[in-house]
Amino acid sequence: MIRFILTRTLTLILGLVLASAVIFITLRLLPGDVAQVIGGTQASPERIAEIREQLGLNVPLLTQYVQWIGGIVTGDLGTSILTGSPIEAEIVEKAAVTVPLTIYSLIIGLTIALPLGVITAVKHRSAASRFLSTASIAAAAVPVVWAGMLAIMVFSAWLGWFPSQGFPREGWESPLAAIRSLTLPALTIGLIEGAILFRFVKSATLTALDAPHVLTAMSHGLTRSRALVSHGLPSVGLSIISMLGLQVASLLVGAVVVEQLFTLPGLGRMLVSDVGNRDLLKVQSTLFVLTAVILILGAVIDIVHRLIDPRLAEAQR
Amino acid sequence: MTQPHLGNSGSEYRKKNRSKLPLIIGAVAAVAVVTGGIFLAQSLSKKPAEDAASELTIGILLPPTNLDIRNTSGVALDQVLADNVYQGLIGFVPGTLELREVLAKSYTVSDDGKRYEFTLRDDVTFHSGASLTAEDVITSLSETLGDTVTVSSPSEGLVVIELAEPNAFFPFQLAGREGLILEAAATNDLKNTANGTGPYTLASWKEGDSITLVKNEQYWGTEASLDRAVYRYISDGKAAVNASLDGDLDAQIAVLPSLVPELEQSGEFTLVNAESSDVFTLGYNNAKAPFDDERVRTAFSQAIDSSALVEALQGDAKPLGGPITSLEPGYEDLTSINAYDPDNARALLEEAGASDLSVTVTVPNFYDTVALDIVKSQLAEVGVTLNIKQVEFGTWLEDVYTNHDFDLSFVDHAEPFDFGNYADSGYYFGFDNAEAQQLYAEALKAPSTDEMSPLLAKAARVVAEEAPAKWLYNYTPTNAVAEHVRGFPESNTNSRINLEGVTIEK
Repeated sequence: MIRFILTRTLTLILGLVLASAVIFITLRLLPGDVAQVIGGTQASPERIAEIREQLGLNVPLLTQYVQWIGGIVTGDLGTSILTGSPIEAEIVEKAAVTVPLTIYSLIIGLTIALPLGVITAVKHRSAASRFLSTASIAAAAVPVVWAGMLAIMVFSAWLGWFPSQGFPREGWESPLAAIRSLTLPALTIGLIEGAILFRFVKSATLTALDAPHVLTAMSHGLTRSRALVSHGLPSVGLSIISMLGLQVASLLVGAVVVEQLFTLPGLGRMLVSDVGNRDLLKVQSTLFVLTAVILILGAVIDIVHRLIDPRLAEAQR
Repeated sequence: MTQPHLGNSGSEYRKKNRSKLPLIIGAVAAVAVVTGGIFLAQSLSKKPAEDAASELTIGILLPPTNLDIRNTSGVALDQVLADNVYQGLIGFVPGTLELREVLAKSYTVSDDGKRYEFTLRDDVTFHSGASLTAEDVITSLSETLGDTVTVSSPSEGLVVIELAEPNAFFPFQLAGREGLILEAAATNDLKNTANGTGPYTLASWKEGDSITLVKNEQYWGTEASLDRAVYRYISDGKAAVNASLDGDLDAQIAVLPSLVPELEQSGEFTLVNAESSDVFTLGYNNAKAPFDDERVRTAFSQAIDSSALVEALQGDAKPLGGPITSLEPGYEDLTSINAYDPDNARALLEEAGASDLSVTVTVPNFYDTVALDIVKSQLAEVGVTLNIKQVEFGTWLEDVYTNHDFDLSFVDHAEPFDFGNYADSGYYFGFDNAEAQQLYAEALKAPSTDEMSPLLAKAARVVAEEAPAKWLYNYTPTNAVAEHVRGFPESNTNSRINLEGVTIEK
């Protein structure tokens, strides 16, 4: 077990190093730079060269990369070229919107997927179940932008239940208003996410229903449902947990789109404008933090999975 | 048949293999209930106070990248900070490009147009509490105007600016970004804070999201009419209209033309077309083939029918035949020059051996391409294939502005008084015309605006004849102002939004 944790940690570190290099290099391929953005359409080439010098954009790339990584190792994400503020503070401020939004979406997704997925699996020959399965395929294919517009039309324009855009200026100091403004965006991502999870839960449950230990439990006089609940669902739960690690990345991508659509001051909108303004140091630090979150989450899930389910260790011996 | 011995009964078997899942689900549910409870308790204990103060929220499209009025280009900063937070010796009458004294009580210009004398007001203080002195003016203007001028203060309260050459544009320059006066001794971080002399102070800046100004209680002039002004940045046109309809905005700048009817139908907004100095310019790369041939440029200009574009923009635009707009000195109607004439365009292209031309227009991706789609189909009529290449603004700056690597370009030239771009062969148009350059230089030497205007008009006519670009239209964006707002500026809001005299009547 210890050995497993060690190797998993090592691959995690390798992954992070690789990700940092990929992010750094990819961003350097973008045409244009922040000096031109600051100078705008009335600046002379001399002026732009001057700005470039001031901002330290002429430092060799390798030096820039090493400085950046060195900073990260010591817990310093650097300062934004444009605003001169610590990047960490700006990420924390914007994450206060994106993280709750992602969790909220996930809760909505799971609330839809778990009960419906299990029930349709148990009664998977009924008409309702067939209908749900078809509907989920359709729902999972809906583009986020489209779902968002639909949500605005129904819940904001017609019913007037939730605001169609924006986030309270005082933020979480008025939690109810904050939750209200995150509801439609979360619903937008949550519905699509729910449809994806639903199909996953359903197939995991169907597999569990045919698992030998569930069949054994039934032969001991348990009804099908009870056998499923007491012996089948634990393994379903495990597969869902490992699936969620993968889903975090897609939830974050959804958040980027939704934040634009609903004008939420989150990480997604910040990234889009920072890329546009070529504040590369800030973009790379933000992307690195997001990547790190996903990779670390993956590693933790793997380790927890291993702890809960000893069969995995058995299989590897 | 003997039963295989199982060792324990069904019920015992269940107990032993009790799963951990209900535990996990229970824990998650408990956490959810607890956090929900906390939120609820918090919100009940903290009722937001009823706000009696007068607050105006303005919706705008593009946010500034930082607040550094000295070094960061773009009108996004002027819209918020000029007039309201920072002031110059001279400024514009709100909603116009007409000049008036601000920090200067009065000023005189010598007959040769080289010497300006300003008498400063003696009651001005910065937001930091420091009094405005001639020293602040000298420091600020030396920094922005550089070696072109000498600034001095022969006696207290008097500032003298001497120009090497007369420049009739100089007062306009002083009323613009370069003329804003900052406190010489201040060491505040210009990127994130602002210390000016204006009627509002900067209260907060949430990058890319909002800027909040509050009334400056120690203002030297007439006290601000609003307690608070919030500029909200909404990049999505539809979301901006939703915000207006939700009642979150009191005014919205530059509503997307196709969405104007939604605000009209609600009946809660006054819709105003704001005059502006914005020129949506289809720039030709004059320095390279095929646009180094005047016949090709003329053909393109004559192949495009501006009136169709104006129609597509549902009244948010005016046809423009030259580089100067009606708000600026030197304007005259030049729409008859290279007016729509597809037959002649075809003939010219044939003559230039440029039939079946295929060219690419580079356009920053935050512009609506409605107009370009129309241009594309109009050019197709005369046998030209136009490829539309949407790029990020940073890419446009690199490819077009810096490297001059393009065929055509489409951008909004929003800055007023930028005619000089057509008299600068190094500008991205690559337009090198001696006559235009000479006329422009002469115009600048004129001792007054009145004498400058005809010279500029003449220069503009020469430029228009040469067709270095097609001035597709002068943008007159629709602003939506809620019924309870009075005195919102009705013109030039794309480069300045002076909040002087704006009130809320509820």
